[in-house]
Amino acid sequence: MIDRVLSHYETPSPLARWNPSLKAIAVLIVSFMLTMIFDPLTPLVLLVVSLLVTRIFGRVPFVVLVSGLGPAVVLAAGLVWTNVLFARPAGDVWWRWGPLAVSQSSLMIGLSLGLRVLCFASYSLMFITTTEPSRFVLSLILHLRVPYRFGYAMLAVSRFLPILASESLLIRGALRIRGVGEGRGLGGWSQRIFRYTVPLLASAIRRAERVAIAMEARGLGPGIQRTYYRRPALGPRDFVAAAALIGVNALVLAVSWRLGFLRVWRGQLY
Amino acid sequence: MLRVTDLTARYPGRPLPALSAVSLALDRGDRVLLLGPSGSGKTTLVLALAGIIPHVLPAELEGTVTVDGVDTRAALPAILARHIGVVFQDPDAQICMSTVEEEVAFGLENLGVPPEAMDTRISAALEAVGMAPRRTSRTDRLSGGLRQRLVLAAVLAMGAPMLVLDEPTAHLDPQGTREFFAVLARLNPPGCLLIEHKLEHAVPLMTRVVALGSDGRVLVEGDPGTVFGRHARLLDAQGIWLPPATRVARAAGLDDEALTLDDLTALAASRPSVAERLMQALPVPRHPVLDGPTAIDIRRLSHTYPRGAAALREVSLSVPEGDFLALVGSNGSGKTTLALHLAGILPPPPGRVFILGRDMAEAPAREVAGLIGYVFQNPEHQFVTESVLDEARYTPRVRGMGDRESLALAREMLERFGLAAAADRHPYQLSQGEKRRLSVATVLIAAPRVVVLDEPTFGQDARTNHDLLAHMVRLNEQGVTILMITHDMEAVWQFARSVAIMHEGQIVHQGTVADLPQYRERLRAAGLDLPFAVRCRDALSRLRPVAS
Repeated sequence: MIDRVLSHYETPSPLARWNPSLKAIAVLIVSFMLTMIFDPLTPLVLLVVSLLVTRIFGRVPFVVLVSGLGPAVVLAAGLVWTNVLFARPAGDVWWRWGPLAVSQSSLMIGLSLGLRVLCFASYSLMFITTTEPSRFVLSLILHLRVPYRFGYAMLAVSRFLPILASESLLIRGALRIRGVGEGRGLGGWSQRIFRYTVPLLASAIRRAERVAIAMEARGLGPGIQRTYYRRPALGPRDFVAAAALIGVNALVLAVSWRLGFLRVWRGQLY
Repeated sequence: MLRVTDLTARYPGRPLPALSAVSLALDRGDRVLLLGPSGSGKTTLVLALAGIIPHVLPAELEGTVTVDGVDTRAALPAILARHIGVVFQDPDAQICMSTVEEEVAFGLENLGVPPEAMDTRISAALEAVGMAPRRTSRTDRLSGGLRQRLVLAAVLAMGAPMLVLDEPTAHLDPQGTREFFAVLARLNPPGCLLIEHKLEHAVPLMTRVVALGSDGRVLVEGDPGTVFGRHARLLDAQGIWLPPATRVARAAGLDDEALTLDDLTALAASRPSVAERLMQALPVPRHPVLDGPTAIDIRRLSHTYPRGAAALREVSLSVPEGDFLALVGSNGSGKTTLALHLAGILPPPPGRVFILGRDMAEAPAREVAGLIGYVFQNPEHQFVTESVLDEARYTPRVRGMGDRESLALAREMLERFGLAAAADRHPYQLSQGEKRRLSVATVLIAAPRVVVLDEPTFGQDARTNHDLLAHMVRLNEQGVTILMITHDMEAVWQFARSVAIMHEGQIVHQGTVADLPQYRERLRAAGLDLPFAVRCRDALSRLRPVAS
């Protein structure tokens, strides 16, 4: 189930000790760097780098990473195919059938897009699998000045997302055995989605309300002076780690540029 | 300590008030048990005490509530939390932090307690609920019972003099329930208001009982002996649960006050004829189905959730046609996972699950409804349409029945389940009991030959509970095979024919209900206990040998 795959992998590691706010910022900067890359080879190298970093410094097994990448693989494959078939042909055209054409350039564009999606997913996984949600929220509140009520609301959501995921499985099963989703085509599909969503939303809203009530009853509310039992550490090491992660990515870009593989965004729409 | 004066609460868009002119006073040393059928406003009252109404939830209040001298209208819930601590029903909706100590610290942080003063308060609170050794445990690894005790510790640590518990054991198995009340008995809080319907362990702790009626008004109030002794009939008529000892005494035609097993044995010891009458009033289990064609056949079924522990480990189970099997076990023992495979909600691998000889890995959805019906713990999970009538007609239509026929059948079914007047309403707008009845009706309309019920009585009041189970017994007597997941050992004893005990993903015992008393140790090991009727019988026969 998705809730088990996309969650914190509880094991002590350097990445797990890294201040979560700085880790988030570093991952965001790297992701932004990724958006500028337009060739397929550079994101491929970065994908491998990110997986190795998560494996070695996060001690997350490859099995977990690969299963976590599952949905992104599907999305990436879709991007490659649609680009290969529908992008404006350029360079060598290998195959043509009516409006469809497979060319060297469309394949490269497709691969580049698909690999970038995988790379984003891999960096997100690096963050998700090595970050304790409550430590992240505490750090957001203490180090990034996020309002505490907002922070704890996020935490509550992160706690019941897994419950919602397993609930959606139950609802799907419940509706399937009642014969919902027998309808074919777009009508059947949209009916199915609607049927799943309504009970799921109803239950999510009720659950969110219960969590909010429980938190208010435990003294969380506007206008209180909060103290903090444990403060996540923030020291020079955390900044060094951020510089290192960004540095490794920059290095890959530099080498790729040197070797002539790198293509970056210069305002073109392919 | 707590004063509620003429409190009336109305939710926007509802014609009838949730609470009507309720007055309640609770002084230091009072421990009040609040009873009422579902929909009588018990939870609304709790929300009003904690200031959630009117500050967080929009509801119109008349009358006043003061807690520890503070008017709830004048103080926000965050401030009232210093005066009143609330433990709600669902531990999953109350625990947000990763570790036990962080969870307890959360409330202290909100009070602004200096971090260096927290350690001793955390230790003391965990000590009070018997969880000191678990201080650094992860909260998501705790059993339901421990999670609820953690919530209690977190509330205790905040030091509010008034403690409110809103059905704290509703999600717990019998062992978790017993331990929770054992902890509560040791605590002795200055003031306590408890909503509970598992009364065997709760009643001895309470000094006063207040019962709300279905109209949201106070029905009766007094000490437990008087309320359950004199007003049992009134409570029963309202669908309010009675302590098991009181039920037995009433069934024996005794007018004496009896709240606990000890009260019953004392009565029996004082008057010779009473023991005999009590013995005869105890429910007797139904006859088992000795043999016959197999209805449910599970062959070495295993299931592991990704990255989780094995939920089912080579489970084999064979249930004859016409059986009423109770599947019991602690929270997380794999009962629901097993049941979900039966109806194909979790698709079983080929050759593992057979219903009436049909391999469920291959049965198409259209065929499933007539073979096996599944009643979910949460009725809303199975609603698919926008009106009660459409809901009832849904399955017959999917299975190809004509418009007129399906309408007639649906109307008849709604009539039978007392829902005819609600035919045009939206299923989500029904009361708890009505939702439960509708979900059962929609399953039974396909006339399945096997019915699976997952804790069907969860959150139901005594009357809905009894009606539902009695209906299942009637179906069972007509030959329908029933498998019911439950924690309620009284229901097992009274309604089931056979019982299977699950523990850590395996079935550790399968046998008749009548033989259950011989397996007390296995029940205990699986977090369960013998039914009250059995413990009562044993206690009475220890008193003096009763001629059979």
